[in-house]
Amino acid sequence: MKKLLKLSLLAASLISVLIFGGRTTAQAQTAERYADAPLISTYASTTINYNYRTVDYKETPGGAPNYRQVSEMTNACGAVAGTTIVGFYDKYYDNMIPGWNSYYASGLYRLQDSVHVPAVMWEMYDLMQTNVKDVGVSEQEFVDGLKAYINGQGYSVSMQNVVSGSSIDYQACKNAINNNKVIALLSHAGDVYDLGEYSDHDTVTTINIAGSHIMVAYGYYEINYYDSNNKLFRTDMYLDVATGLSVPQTALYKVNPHNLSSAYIVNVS
Amino acid sequence: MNKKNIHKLIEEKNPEGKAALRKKVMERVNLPTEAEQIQKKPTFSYKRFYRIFAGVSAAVAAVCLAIVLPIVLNRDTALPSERYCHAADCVETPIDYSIKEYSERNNLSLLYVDWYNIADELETLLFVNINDDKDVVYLQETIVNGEIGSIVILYITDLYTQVDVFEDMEKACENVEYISSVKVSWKYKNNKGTACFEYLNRRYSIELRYPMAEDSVLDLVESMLSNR
Repeated sequence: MKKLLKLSLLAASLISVLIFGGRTTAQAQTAERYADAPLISTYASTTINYNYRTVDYKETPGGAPNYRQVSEMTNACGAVAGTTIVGFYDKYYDNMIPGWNSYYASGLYRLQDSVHVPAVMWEMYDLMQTNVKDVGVSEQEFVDGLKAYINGQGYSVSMQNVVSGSSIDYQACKNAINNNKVIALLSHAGDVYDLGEYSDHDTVTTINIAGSHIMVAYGYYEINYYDSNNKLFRTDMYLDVATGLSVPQTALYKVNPHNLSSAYIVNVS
Repeated sequence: MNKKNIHKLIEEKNPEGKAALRKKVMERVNLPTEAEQIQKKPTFSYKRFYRIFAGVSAAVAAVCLAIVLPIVLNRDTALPSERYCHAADCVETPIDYSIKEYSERNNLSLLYVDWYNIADELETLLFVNINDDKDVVYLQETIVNGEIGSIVILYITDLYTQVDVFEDMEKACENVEYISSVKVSWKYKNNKGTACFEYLNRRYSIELRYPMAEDSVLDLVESMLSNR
C-alpha cells in the first residue's frame, strides 16, 4: 500500500513537471521578440476639422540622437534603441559613449559616426543577446542588456514601466520628459503618424510599423480639439519618437489608445 | 443590195483613214487609244506584290529597330515608367562626397543645399534597390551646423519613382508658396519645417530642424533654386 502511494505521488510529480515545465518553455518560446520592423506607408490620411485647439508640447533639448543599425547587423532595433538612449544621456553623464561626445555645445546631437557609435551598438547587440535565443531581442534581454551597459560605464540605472495592460501613465511620461529623461517604447506592430497643422484643420498621415519594434520617446504632444460650440470633441495624445530608421527618423506615436507592451522611463544616476 | 451589205460596205471603206481620224479625236479628248487601253489593262503581278510587301516589311522593321535599339544599347536613356517603392525596401550606400559633386560626376542637374562651407557634419547616402544595387531609388544628404544648431535633410527622387514615405511627407504639406515660379508645398511643426517641390524631372523633399523661423525652410528652397 505504501509502495503504491509512493509510486502514485512520483507519477503525479512527473506529470506536473511535464505539464507546467512544458508550459513555461512554451511561454518562453512565444515571448514577444523585437526585430527588424520596416515602416511602410498606409497611404491613409485623416483630416480633423476644428474651431480651435490647444496644444501641450515639449521635447528634451536637442531631441534625441537619430541612430540606425550598422549595416552588418540584423534585427537590431534593441541595440539601436539602447545606443540612442546612451547617446542621449552622454550629454549629461560623461563617457557614456567612450572617447566621444554625442552632442554639440548648442545642444544638438551629432550624427552617428563610423567608429564610436557602432562600437557601442555592437556591445549593446552582444549584451542584449540579439538573435541568440531567437530573432531579435525579448523585452527582458533588452532591459538586461541596457542595464549591463550603463552599469559598465559606472552609472546606476532604473527602468520604470508606465504601461499596465491597455493603460499608460501619460502624466508620468510628461514628467519624465519635463525632467530630461527619455522613454523606451516596446511596441507591437502598429502605426506611427505625421501631422500637418493648419488654421482650421490638422492632417494626420499614417505609417505602419510592420512588426514589433523598439523606439525612443523624447517628447510629448497633446492636442485638445474644440468644435464651433467650444466643446471639446477630441483629444490626441502622442509621444515624439526617434524611430531608429533612416526614414522617417522621427514620428509621432499615439498613446490613446496605445499599442505598447511596455514603456520604460530610463533613470540614470 | 440589202441594209447589211451597205453597212458592211461603209465599214470596210478606207479603214486606215478611219483609224487615223479616231486616233486624232481620242488625243484631243485625252483618252487612251484602243491600243493604249489594251496595254494599260491591269493584270495581277506577283513581282509587284512581292516588291510592295518587301517595302512595307522593311519600313516596319526600321521603325521597330528605331524604338528597340536605343533601349537595348543604352538602358540609361530607356523610356521611364512609373514605379512605386517602399523606403523600407532600399539599402543605404554611403558615399564620401556631396550631392553637388555626385551631380557633377554623373552629369545631372541636381539642386543642393549649399551649406557645405558651414557644415560641421555631412552625410550623403544613396538608397539603392535591395534587389539591384545599381538602381538608385533616392538620394539623401544630411548637413549639420552644430554652431547654429540646425540640421537639414534633403531627399531626391526622380519623377517616375514614388517612395511611400515621401508621398506621406508631401501629403502633410498643405501650405503652398511659389518661388521662382516653382510650386512649393510646405509645413511647420514642432521645431521642424518641411518642404516638397518638383524641378527638372526631380522631386525634392527637405526637412529643416530647429530653424530660426517657421518659414525658414522656404529660404532654403529659394537658395537651392538660385544655385541652379
